[in-house]
Amino acid sequence: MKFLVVEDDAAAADSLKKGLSGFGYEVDVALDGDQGLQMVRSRDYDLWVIDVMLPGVDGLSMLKSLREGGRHTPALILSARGEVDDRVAGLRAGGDDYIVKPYAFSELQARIEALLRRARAFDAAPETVLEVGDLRMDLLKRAVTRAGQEIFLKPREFRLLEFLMRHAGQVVTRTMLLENVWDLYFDPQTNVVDVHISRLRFKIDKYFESPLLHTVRGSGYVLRAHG
Amino acid sequence: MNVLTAPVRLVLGFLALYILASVLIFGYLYSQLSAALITQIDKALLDQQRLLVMRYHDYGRAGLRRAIENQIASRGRGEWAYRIVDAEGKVAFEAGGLVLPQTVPGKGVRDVEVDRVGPSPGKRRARVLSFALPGGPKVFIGIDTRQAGELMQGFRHAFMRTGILVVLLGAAASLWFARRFQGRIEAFSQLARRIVKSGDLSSRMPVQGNDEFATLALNVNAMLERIERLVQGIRQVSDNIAHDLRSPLTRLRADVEVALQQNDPATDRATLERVLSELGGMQTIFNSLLSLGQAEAGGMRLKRKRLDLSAFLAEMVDLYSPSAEERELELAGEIAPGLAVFGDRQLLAQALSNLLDNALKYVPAGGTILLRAARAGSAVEILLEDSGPGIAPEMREKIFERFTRIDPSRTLPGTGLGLALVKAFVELHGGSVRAAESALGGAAFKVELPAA
Repeated sequence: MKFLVVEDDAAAADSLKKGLSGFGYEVDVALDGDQGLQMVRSRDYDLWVIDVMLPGVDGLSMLKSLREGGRHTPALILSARGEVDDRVAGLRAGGDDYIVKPYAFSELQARIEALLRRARAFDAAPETVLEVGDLRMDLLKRAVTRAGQEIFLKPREFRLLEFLMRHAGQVVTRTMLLENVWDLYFDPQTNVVDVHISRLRFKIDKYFESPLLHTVRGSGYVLRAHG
Repeated sequence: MNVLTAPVRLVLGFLALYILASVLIFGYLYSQLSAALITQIDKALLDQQRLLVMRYHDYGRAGLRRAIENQIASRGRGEWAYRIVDAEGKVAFEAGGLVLPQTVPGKGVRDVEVDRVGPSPGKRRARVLSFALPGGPKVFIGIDTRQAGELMQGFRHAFMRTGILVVLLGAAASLWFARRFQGRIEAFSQLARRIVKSGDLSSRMPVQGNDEFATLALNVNAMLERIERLVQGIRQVSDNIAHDLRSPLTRLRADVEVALQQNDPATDRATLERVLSELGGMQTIFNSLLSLGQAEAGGMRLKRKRLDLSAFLAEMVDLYSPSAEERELELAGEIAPGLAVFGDRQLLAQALSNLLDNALKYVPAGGTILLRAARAGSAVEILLEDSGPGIAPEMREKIFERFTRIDPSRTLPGTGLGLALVKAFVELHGGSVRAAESALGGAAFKVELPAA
């Protein structure tokens, strides 16, 4: 997997490169928009990580011109501005996700994995059934079973589980859950997500041998069939 | 300094207007008066004509002459001119102190230049009436108009003298007032300059009397008072920032320095975890301060849409009730159906979330939290009540200020910015929030938003 990081702060770019390399990704760094454009044209990447504020061509213009040129590589936007407006502008310019600085590295990593997986699933037919181990979700009937036993979920729990199942095997952060399940772009002080997760866990794991929903300390949660 | 200051220009303008008005009034009076005088003179001429015609009718030419001589005898000849011209055009009789010219042009009553003979000779203007008598003779009667002229001239002079006097007095008085006004305006300028120079906001305008200047002074003082309070507030905030960001920074630094000195990989991990958690807390304070600054300075762009408030509040209750239950609290909603506001969902969610966070933090286990919402006139009233320790009456306004903590020891986690954000976000929506006592025994936060 090859990533391009476009970030004008050399120290930040370097620590990003180190962090991502640690997870087995190969990372190239461009320090401004023009260099970024050149590198994209000379090499194929699996993901672009683009900072918004860049000298010369800014991140959003760069992304826009690449999208207009027919490039569909998944792109994650980094920005110091976190208002809903800014997010919308980032996504309109062709970003696939948006993360506000300063961010936790685990957050960045989780979002990158989600993006890569979404890109892989892009061509597949839309699923009507999600399966993780013996847990099965029928999206049409809105029914959930585990090992054949029906599990009754409230609508919000259903959406929470759906998101976790769609990202099975990946770490999902609390912020990602708040954004995608509750449509909230801030972190409440109370551990609201944790308690919802523990309720869901009670319903899907309590009466079964091997747990599916795991807590990843310091990062979030992962839904996984084994281990 | 410019001599033509605003008050002086104002005074000069009014003076010019005053002069123009006086001239117009004088002109009108003058023309009316001179018309009245001429009418009077002409009436005297016509009276003479009637008398002479009567005498001529009764006594013929001799009666006519006698009548003229009697007139002159009774009134003196000075101001009058009489002439009788016979049918052939020869002057048959001439009397009076005025001498008409050889031929008098025109007819009816007209102005003619005549010679005066006797004590004060010279050219005079006269009103002359001529008429024909039956049988041919023609009579001319003239009256000296000097008296009328003198009257009019006197009137003109009186106007000029009083006019000039009034204009001078007016100008002097106006300039005096202008000076006075200028002085009082200058006092404001001086105050402003003093504040600009020294930055000392404690100066105030003295308030004299109760005119517009006094009102202005009161308003300026009120404004200065508000600015002074704001500046004090900012100082207070920067002190608080210093405290709230400096303390974690100090801890961070100490932690990292100790870890570096000890050089013990076994404790490094714990240190790094503490550092990360401190950074998280600082980030929260930083974000809140940024949002607060933007909201209060009006720099926040609201994404306002019609929001189904009933559904939204139910979602918030749904989001928080598991957390409440975990803390053995009962969180209930009594939300009227069909409520709607025009608002930014994210900001309102954050405001409500801050209130709920507080309730969950302060209400001890076994307590109750109740979220109620109902229409109240043109507003929607959201009431969040709890059975917690409540808020002392003297704190109920203060808690909405930045960095105010109900818990003075600051042992419970929190930024001291949550309620300030609630207030700022609610006010951005044209609403209001206040704290009160709840029937449940604890705090009640009442949020009012304009209904959509």
